[in-house]
Amino acid sequence: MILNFKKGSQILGKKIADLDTGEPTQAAPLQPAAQPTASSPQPALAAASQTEASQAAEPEAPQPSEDWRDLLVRLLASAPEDVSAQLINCLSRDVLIKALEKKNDPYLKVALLMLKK
Amino acid sequence: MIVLVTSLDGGVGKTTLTAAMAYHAAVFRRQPVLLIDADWEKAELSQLFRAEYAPGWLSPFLRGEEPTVYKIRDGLFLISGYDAAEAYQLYDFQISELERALEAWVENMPAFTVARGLPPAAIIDTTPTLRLSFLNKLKERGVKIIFVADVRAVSRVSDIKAEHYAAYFKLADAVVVNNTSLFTRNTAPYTIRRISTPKDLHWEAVAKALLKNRHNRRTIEALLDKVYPTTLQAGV
Repeated sequence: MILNFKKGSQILGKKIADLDTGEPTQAAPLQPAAQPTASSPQPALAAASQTEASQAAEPEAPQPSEDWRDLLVRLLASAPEDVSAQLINCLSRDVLIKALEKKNDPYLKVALLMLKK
Repeated sequence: MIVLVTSLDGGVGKTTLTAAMAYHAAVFRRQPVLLIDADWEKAELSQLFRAEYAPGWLSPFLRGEEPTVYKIRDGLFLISGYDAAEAYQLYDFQISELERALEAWVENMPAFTVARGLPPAAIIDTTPTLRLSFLNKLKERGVKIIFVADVRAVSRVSDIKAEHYAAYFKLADAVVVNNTSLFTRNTAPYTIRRISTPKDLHWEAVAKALLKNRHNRRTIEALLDKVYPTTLQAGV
């Protein structure tokens, strides 16, 4: 495993406008399915803070160019559990698998392999 | 403003001190803080804060991913270190590579925080025994170094150990010593007194328990005055 310093520095130095319209390597943070408790941190608020930042630091409005798979996964992960369950029932299995395949994550890959069994 | 909390020995209380400093800064001094868990051996700060597994500080270099920023509470944010700890165990990393990634964070921190509306002040919790050459490099970039020690700093296990400690003491902007019978306020500028372990090992409970002690509260206050004076907040 070799670290990519050029890429890493580019990401850290990127402005939010660049991130929004950026390359597909940018993974949308997944909201955990569990409801956050009072004592646990509010997860994945990067998107929220990014919005605030764009309002404060970037005069031009960010272009919403997120992939449908990101939006679907984030919706399902952030909705109340019963609503998510109903939505998942309505969606085709192939669509869900396609959405999950967007993220190149070894854990997700194993989960998908189990689902496909 | 970047503060790096480090030590020579493990288990001296870096993570606890980091949590207490962040809590005191955000809650009592209204100074926002971004925490970065750069302890690539254990990622204990992430665990103390109950952060979910998500792309952390090494992810931009590891997978080209944007790191996830957790909002802990108003004025307090965290970037976790799970992926770095996992990578440290799984892959054959040179320490210099991890150091270089951390140095890139220091270099890009202003751009990163401004673009994302995050606090301009970051506290980085690290792994023990970071190399002096690396710490010197960070210091040249304006990073404030807080060195945490315990009784081992004066136990004179060997002359070599004593020399190591002397070198780190010399480099540090502030030395914090976990109080023991061997230390008094006169021998170490910043001391932390022992507290009983809280039942809930959650960051807020730990920070509150530590800060409940008046001496500890004064120490943290003085430490923040030294590395994160309130005048710096104007630069938000």
